[in-house]
Amino acid sequence: MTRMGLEIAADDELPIVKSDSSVLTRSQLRRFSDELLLKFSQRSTHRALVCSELPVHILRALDACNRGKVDLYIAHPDTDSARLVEILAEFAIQMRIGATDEYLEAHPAPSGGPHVFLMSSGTTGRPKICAQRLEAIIDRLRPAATLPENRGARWLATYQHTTTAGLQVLLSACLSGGTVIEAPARSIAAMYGAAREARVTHVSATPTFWRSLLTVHRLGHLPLRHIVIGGEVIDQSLIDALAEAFPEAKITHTYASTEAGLVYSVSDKRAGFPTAWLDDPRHPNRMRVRDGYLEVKLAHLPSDLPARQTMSLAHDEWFKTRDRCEIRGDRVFVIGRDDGAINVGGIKVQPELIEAFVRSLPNVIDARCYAVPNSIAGFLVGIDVHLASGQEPEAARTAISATCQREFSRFEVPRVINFVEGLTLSRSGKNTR
Amino acid sequence: MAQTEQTMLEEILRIVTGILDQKGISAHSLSQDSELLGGSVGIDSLDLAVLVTELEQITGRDPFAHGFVCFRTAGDLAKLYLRTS
Repeated sequence: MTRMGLEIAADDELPIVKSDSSVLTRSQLRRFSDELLLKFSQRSTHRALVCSELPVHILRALDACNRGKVDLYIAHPDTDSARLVEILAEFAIQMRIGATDEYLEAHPAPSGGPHVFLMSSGTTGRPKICAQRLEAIIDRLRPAATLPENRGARWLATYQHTTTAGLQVLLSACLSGGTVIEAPARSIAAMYGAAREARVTHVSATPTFWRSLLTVHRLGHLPLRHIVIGGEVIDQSLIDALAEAFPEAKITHTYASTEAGLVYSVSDKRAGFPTAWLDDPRHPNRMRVRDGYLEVKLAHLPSDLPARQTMSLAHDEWFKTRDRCEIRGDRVFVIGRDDGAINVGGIKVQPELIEAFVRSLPNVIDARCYAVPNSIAGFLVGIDVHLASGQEPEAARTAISATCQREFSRFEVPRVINFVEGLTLSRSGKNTR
Repeated sequence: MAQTEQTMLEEILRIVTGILDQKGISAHSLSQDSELLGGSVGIDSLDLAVLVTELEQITGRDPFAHGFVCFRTAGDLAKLYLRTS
């Protein structure tokens, strides 16, 4: 089989990425990819890693690795440098792709794939690493991306490009002859300004992003054609508000994960998905609800994975998403993850890590971390703290907050800190959340 | 605590200054006319969520709880909190 990579033609001058300071055309991307492919062959490369916030490096890595049968690990640009060194060693990475491409001394086995290895995002704990085939990712995106109404789409980049959602935007733009528009900064103002200036037609973002955008959007300023929503539970009121603000736009909400990729997308302006899709053999990914949880039978099962693969595969290949579901009438509603993770604006935070850290601080007897509902971000992190006696609460609040700011990512920092006399334990002796 | 508009505005500016400080952004010349989201202040949706949470802890109110509310400036936001009951 001839590997096509991202199917980029060498003579195609259409832009694939645009920012306020630069344009990357498809022909340029193809040339960069060809150069990278040459570097692979010069040192018999089977494993590479890209760690960058720039689409050019991610795209040329995806294209060249697929064409050159090289396994590609995609690391988030904010990965701790010590963690990155561990990852490079653990997976025997031979080339690090980025602003400069660097050969590394390593001797992995030849690729059984090639696979693309994505990492779950956002938090301080060990990321989950999941393998996908680029062909499978592209095949799932191709039907929508190649619809006539999506030809030449201009996508605003809202997600970090190295996440599942961010990659889907990059790849959808590639497949549709479209362009990704990068804002100069990740603020609401900059995103809105860039979208207006570039006459963006398509935006894929979290409900948190959309809720924020609705506070600044003036009718008619952003004539969007397609709104895509994902990463957090979506309620009908958000869909209705978007339909009112953008009356011409198609509205799609999606459900995806790092492990399973895109599982479903719904465009009927109703929350949830039709019960008719359950156990429907014609749906691209088979879905079922078991004991109140959503399970997915993946169309493509990863094989020969590194030891850190943590997908929970049932023996008949149904993947347990651990998302709770409710069936109401003719719709299935995904309610939320049951693994205790707190969904902060689309980023999944593990409360146990934050709890353990705060417990380790001086004068803290115990701590319990939990989700605090928030009208903008869905949830923020809250923490109840049992302080040692004689401590001044306000000084402790300032100290705990400042220490957490230094230790954790912005999404993980507890924003509500309460002091309590003692914490409730369940009968099993564990903290109740 | 008497929630006059001036007091409310000062709280908002104090919190936004704190948020920007944490991001290493200087918060010079923030005033009631500063456009919090659409101008040059540079806050993102997480910052907005934090601002809303902190103001709820102070005022006991959340103007965003029942739908989507437009505001432009810090002054607009202060009025919003005073209107909400």
